[in-house]
Amino acid sequence: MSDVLWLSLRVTVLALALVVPMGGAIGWWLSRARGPMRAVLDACVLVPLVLPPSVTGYYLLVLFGAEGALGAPLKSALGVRLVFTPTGAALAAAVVSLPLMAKGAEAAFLRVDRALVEVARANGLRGLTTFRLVTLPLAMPALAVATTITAIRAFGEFGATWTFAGYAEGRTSTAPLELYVALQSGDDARAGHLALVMTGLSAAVAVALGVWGRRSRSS
Amino acid sequence: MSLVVRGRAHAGAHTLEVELDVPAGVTVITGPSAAGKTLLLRAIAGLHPFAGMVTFDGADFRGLEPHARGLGYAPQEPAIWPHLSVSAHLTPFADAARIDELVRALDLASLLARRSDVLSGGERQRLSIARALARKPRLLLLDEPTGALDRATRERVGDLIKSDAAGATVLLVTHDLAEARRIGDTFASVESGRVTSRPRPVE
Repeated sequence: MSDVLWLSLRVTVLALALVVPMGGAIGWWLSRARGPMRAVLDACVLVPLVLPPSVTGYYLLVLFGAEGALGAPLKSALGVRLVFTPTGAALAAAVVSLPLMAKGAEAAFLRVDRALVEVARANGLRGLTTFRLVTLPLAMPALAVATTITAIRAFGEFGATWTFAGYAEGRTSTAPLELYVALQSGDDARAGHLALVMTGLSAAVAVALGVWGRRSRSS
Repeated sequence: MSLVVRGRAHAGAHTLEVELDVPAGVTVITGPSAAGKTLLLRAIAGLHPFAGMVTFDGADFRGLEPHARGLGYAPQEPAIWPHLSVSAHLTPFADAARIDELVRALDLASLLARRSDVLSGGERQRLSIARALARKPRLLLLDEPTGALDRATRERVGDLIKSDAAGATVLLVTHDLAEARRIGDTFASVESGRVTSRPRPVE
């Protein structure tokens, strides 16, 4: 049980390492952009949210599978294989949870009072300095919430991981996959334990978010 | 160091037509509420689209980002960064000696370590003025910067602006005629969506 949870945690952290900077950057751009390009990127970002996860997994397989458009050169040039690896599971979790991070980050940056940014710029601070000094710290509480929700989604990812990374014990057997396998093999007790642990973790995070949100509003 | 502004700015249904030559010194901008005084300063700062030309000391502002215009700007609402201390508002703009000079002059020395989200309205305005003055800009845009201050403090801060910005070009928006007469060198008004002609000397 602890092996499964440890692997799930590793996969989640790896997914976050990919999705937080990328989703954060996309969210920042969406919060500032106008015009048709914004609408196009907005739609693209939302695709993994509206597609069934197994379809997302299928496209990942087409792209990053051993014979895929990107997977084949990755394997031949760098010897990197994603299918049946924790990295592959993390990639699937990252793609599926990207919309939550990007849209959460967009909302976080939109919440920053424009006047506070403008006064920094008008008094001579460059864009990067203004971002570091003003925008990012003010967006941080909402970014933390977006990151937490993204982490929960990545931790619970099943469909795309199953389709793309497959099931390999100890390598891609994250908690949701392990629960499914336990059920299929008739190990109801193990499935029940896994379900209970995941429910407990999710409930703990939900309660922590609620408490933190109330504290943020009252401070 | 003269500022030349010619063109127009739109804000919703409101249009502001500008034809203004501003000499060095303090030019007081007056006019009724919602006449476009704030819009004028925002357009000069590059924070609002402006169709026309803005030049300062011969340098064309067109295409220049706000940070590259060499301004000091204190908006009508002080726009204090709530997560930063008083001190952290000034360190990006000035060295320790300059900060010390400003906080003493504006009675902020005892508040340096305080988080700015607990400051009073008057303290916030004084901090906003300190931030605008910190780099000793050659062009200073002040939008009703002393509205929350009592009369005595307002006079003292007005004198500070006048002396600290000596040689610079200052546009000061105010409804306070006593303040306008006290520190203004010239005077212009925004009326019916127009700012025209050279600013008249203060009478």
